[in-house]
Amino acid sequence: MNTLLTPLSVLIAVPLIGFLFTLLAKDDDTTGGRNVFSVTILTLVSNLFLLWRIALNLDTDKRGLQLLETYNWLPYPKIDLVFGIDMFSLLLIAAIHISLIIGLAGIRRRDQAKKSLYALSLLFLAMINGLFISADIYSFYIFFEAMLLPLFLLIGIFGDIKRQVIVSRFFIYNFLGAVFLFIATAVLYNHEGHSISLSAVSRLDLSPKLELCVWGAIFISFLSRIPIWPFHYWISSINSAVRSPLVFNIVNLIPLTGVYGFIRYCPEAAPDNVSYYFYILEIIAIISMLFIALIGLINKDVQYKIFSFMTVYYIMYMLGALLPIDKILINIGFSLFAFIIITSTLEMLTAYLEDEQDDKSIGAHGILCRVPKLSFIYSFLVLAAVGMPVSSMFLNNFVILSHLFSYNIRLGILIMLALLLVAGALIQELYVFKDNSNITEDTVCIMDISAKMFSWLIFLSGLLIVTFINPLWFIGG
Amino acid sequence: MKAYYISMLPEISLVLGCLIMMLTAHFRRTATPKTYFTITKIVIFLSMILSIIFYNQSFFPAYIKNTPYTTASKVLMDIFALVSLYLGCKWFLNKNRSSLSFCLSATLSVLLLSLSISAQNLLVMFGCLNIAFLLNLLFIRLYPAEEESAPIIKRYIIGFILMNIFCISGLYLMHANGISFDFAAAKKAYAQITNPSFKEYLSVVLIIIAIFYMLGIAPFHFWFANVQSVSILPVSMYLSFIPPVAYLSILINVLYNVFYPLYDTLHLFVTGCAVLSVLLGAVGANGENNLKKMFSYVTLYNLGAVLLCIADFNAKGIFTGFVCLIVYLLALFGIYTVFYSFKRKGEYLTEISSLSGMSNIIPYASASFLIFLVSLLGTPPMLGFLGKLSIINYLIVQGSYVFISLLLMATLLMAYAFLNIIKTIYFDASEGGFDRVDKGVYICLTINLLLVIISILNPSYLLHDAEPLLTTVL
Repeated sequence: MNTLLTPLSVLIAVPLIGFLFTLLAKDDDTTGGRNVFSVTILTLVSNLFLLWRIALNLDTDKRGLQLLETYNWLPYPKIDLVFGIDMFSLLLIAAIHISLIIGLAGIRRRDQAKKSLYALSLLFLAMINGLFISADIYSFYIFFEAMLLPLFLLIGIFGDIKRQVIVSRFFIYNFLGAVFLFIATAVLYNHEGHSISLSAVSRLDLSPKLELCVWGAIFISFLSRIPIWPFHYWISSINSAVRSPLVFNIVNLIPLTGVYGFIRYCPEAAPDNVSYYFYILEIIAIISMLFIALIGLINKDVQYKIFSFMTVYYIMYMLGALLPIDKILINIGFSLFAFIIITSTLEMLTAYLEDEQDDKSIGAHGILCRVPKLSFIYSFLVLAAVGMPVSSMFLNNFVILSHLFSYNIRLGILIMLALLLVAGALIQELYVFKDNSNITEDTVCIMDISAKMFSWLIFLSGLLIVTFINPLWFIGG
Repeated sequence: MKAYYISMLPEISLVLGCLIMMLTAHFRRTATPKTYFTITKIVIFLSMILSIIFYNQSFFPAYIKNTPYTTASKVLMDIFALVSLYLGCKWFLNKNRSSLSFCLSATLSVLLLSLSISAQNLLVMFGCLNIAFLLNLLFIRLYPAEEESAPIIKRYIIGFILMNIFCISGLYLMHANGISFDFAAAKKAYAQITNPSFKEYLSVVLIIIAIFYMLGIAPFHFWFANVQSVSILPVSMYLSFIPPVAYLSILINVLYNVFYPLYDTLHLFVTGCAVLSVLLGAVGANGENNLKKMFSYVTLYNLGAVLLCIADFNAKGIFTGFVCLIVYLLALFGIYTVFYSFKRKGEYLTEISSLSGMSNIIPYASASFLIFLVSLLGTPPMLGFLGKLSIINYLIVQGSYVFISLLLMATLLMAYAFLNIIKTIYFDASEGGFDRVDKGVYICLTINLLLVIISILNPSYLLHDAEPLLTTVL
């Protein structure tokens, strides 16, 4: 099959068309960025609709990628790009779309509403969609690296990062990770003489030395996307410095690509030769988790707290993905769906609070006291984030943790400790925001969110609750 | 082989073009830059068409022989010459200066390089190449800043003499060893040598050094960056595309059709120079603030990468080298086209720092520049990825893992240099306006971008029939 207009290709094509429309859209003072905003929202909603249609065609009981499409791309070396999707990928793609819509809602009131921001976001979306529907090693690598450029430009132009050198280093370091994946991909391709499906990589019969080198490269490339020691610095410096909610939500997706890579490359188990070294990775992961969770608890910056929360959870998902069973992968998918929506919304509200604080020149203490709508939503999201039974994170994280406990009880305890620390950090911040001990009649307060925004956030909260009741609600499963 | 005198028409048309230009300069006092460009455009285009028509017919088969391979090289060279001249004309129109010397030198240079590409005799080949190389002096002396160019011209002449010493010594040693200058005879003679002596080896190395020098391969590259820094933009563009395409084609021809029997001993030397070029190119690009000079190092890096494939002396290597070359030429051509939009108050900008905030003022040119830069890095989904993929895949097949590491390390260094440009264009605040970009520049950019997009979506269009065509050199 060699066609461009199949559902999965359209998932990539729609954001690209949106990207072109955004570039061509009239955007001056009279329009106030409404045209590009509408094009972007329309693109995202169209893709969500398409995703729903795809979901209806998916067989939830079937394992492996479905709706496979092959595109004969290069004659020499012979490379065919293969796309496929399963419920896991679909959930992540849907979560990313919702996350971007949340980010867009967050920047509407800022001056940043420039068309290049929307255009680059759509370009990034096309690339990340491509990554999540890749079914073979070459298409996976192509999208893994291709997303770096829009990401770099988004962070550099709209991230409000004072030290530009951080942005360059961030790119170089992610580029290096992609280079490792490229080497591994090219070596595997030449070893087999043809492109390989992602699920087959861990079953390849390689010599012990080659196996170690190839998997070493694959692991380094995926780890380079996750804020884990020694790769944590550049991601953390970017994440804690970015002030735009849309850019933050996009940057928040970088570790997801790393975790997803682990899940796709070793769905059941990595080769024995490689599994032997897993304990080193586990130790590093645990130390990173505890370290970042502790900093999150101590740090006064709420954005850093969200970053530490995000990091600890991503590492937990990674450790879950590396367990020698594939039963919990769908649990990771369900959990990630809610996790992405929760962190994106929290970040959007945090950015709103920070803007209001700057405008009114007030501190964070009791900031939520006289804004009931915002207070309600913020509290709900924090409770959902710390693991209360209000989203699909609750049950699914329970399953993931129980498997981690049964695999290694000490590992499970330490992960639990890190989760408690980040939960503590978020609740501590919520307490500060709701602490009314110093609030008097004369205290200057921030403005509550608009009714429109409140309705949108209520809808999102409802969506989270529905995912708790039935994660596959959208197909009636 | 039968001589077809009619097949001289491509060369005759170029000679006629030169004569017409001189006559025009003599009789027509109101000639504008466009007049000479029109003449050049017509004769080069005619020469290209005639080369295609007589693609396998030769007028002096013993000395000059056309094959599909030589014709493909000439066509590639002619296409780049035509577009370079078209853009160059904008510079002369903008500055209101005569383009006679530029157009005349370019036409002559194309003529000489065409002859060298088809040459079947080392003496004929080096004769044409030497004159063409000397012609570069005319280019360099076109409206440069006097104080800057004088020492560079002096060094260029010294380099030219040195290169000739290498070349003549090599040819002399070859002759002394009793080896003919004719390609086929020389190859036959080398094939009979089972264990080459030092003198025989030295003669070959000296000849290759002469070609490397002209091509600007490390460690004989120093002249190229200096010349680029003082040349005017049309000259820089011309020197970055037309001679390298010709020299590379000649190098492949000579390596495969003359020195092939000495493959084992030459391999190390060619590979060493290639690796050095890749590394020096990447390091050099990081140390430059002058855009033209910086991209001359990028050229060095890419030529090194192409040479790394060619050095293995096999059909797959040539094909891989060709893919890398085409991808690199397309990207670099886009870069040079964008240079024509870097204009402030009539002056063309060459410093990276002068591009601050360009993306807000001329967004289309900035975006194109970004696409070509990323393409040069080999990042997917840009066209450059095809080149990176081909070369890495080829090196893996050859088991050259050390070269892969070096190449990728150099790419990282290059990425750092490019990031500085991207940062200046996109992240820095604007420090001044830019002049309106010429429509012709936009047309060239759009065509180049379309080529890039089509080639990404379906690389077969770009590489269609390339492999069988290239193997005709073997």
